[in-house]
Amino acid sequence: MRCSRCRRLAVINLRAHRLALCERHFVQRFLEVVERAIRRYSLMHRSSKVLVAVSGGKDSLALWDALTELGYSADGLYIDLGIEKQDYSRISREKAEAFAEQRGLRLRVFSLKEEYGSAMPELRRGSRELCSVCGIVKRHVMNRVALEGGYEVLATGHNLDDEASVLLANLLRWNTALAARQAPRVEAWHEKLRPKVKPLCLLSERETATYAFVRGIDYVSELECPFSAGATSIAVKEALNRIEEHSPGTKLYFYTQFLKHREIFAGEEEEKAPVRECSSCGFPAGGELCSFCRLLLKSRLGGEKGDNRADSRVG
Amino acid sequence: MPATVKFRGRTMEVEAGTRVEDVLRKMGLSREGIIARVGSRLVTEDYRLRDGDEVELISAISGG
Ligand code: SF4
Ligand SMILES: [Zn+2]
Ligand SMILES: [Zn+2]
Repeated sequence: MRCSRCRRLAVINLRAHRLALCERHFVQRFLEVVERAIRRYSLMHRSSKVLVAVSGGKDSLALWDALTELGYSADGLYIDLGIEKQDYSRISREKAEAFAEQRGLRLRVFSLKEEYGSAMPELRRGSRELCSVCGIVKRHVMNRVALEGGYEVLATGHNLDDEASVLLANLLRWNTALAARQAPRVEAWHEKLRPKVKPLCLLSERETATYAFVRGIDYVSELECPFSAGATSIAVKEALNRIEEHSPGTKLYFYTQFLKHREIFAGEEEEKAPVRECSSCGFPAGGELCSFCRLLLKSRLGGEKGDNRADSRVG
Repeated sequence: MPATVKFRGRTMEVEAGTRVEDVLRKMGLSREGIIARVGSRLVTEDYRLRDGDEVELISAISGG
């Protein structure tokens, strides 16, 4: 197959767009689509100081690379969860560090163990599923680092497949409250929080993998977080890809048309509890302590240390 | 010497002349979720394997 633009050998066939592209034209188009998403959904300004959450996987590194290519000033944040199983945290951290070093970019590494004395598996102690604990921790750390570092926007590597599959999963259960909250830019609802943006939301997972490959990005590929409850989300993604095979363009249409008609879900959002400030860390909380500090307290080991840390660092 | 196809740590032999899309179909994989590398280059699904080609299928799908 040849490139639709220059007739060189193509590296990807985008049936949804009736386009086959060579390396050079693929990269060019990829960057255009990132920029298009940033403008169309008002994700950020040219001058915005951006903090990219990097996991060491293809999507977040591709995002960091693309934003840098486009001229945005973007630093990376790697949150070391301290997951020792399969050496997951160590290997993914090394990928993120190597990427930053090669390109002369600034990576902030935040280690849970060093900062709070507890790694992710200890924070779960006795309660909840690990992934929901992990979500709370990541959200807290991202906002904290963004606030302390003076970043205006938090960017994550969610791609079209992530967004379309979450949307489908929510609609299959008619979880309209969750659907109402899904957007390429989620506004901050408190002065200490930062808006979250997803500049890769118009690009499929196959496109981000291709971009990572042709840009020579070394990412954690075969290795998934050993705690990944990904089976369900992968099943939904595969189902969407089956439909996509038959009707190319379905994923993009499904997601972008949802964004156009999002107002039909308006008012479905769950009410936020009246906002207070966490007595320990100062971040917004539903009660006396925010959900993150409650986890710290429960893990006992990290409780006290974490509280001191929090007081000295924020405020 | 046939071509070899690697996927998730397993290797199998495939006759020269087979297209990447045929390999994917046989393995029950969607072309929307895979990229295919021959040597240091990515190929599209219509690529016909040649004798001695070493093809790696890389899953683009991640969970989480
Ligand atoms: S799979 Fe779960 S525990 Fe692992 S990084 Fe993702 S959210 Fe965290
Ligand atoms: Zn070209
Ligand atoms: Zn707190």
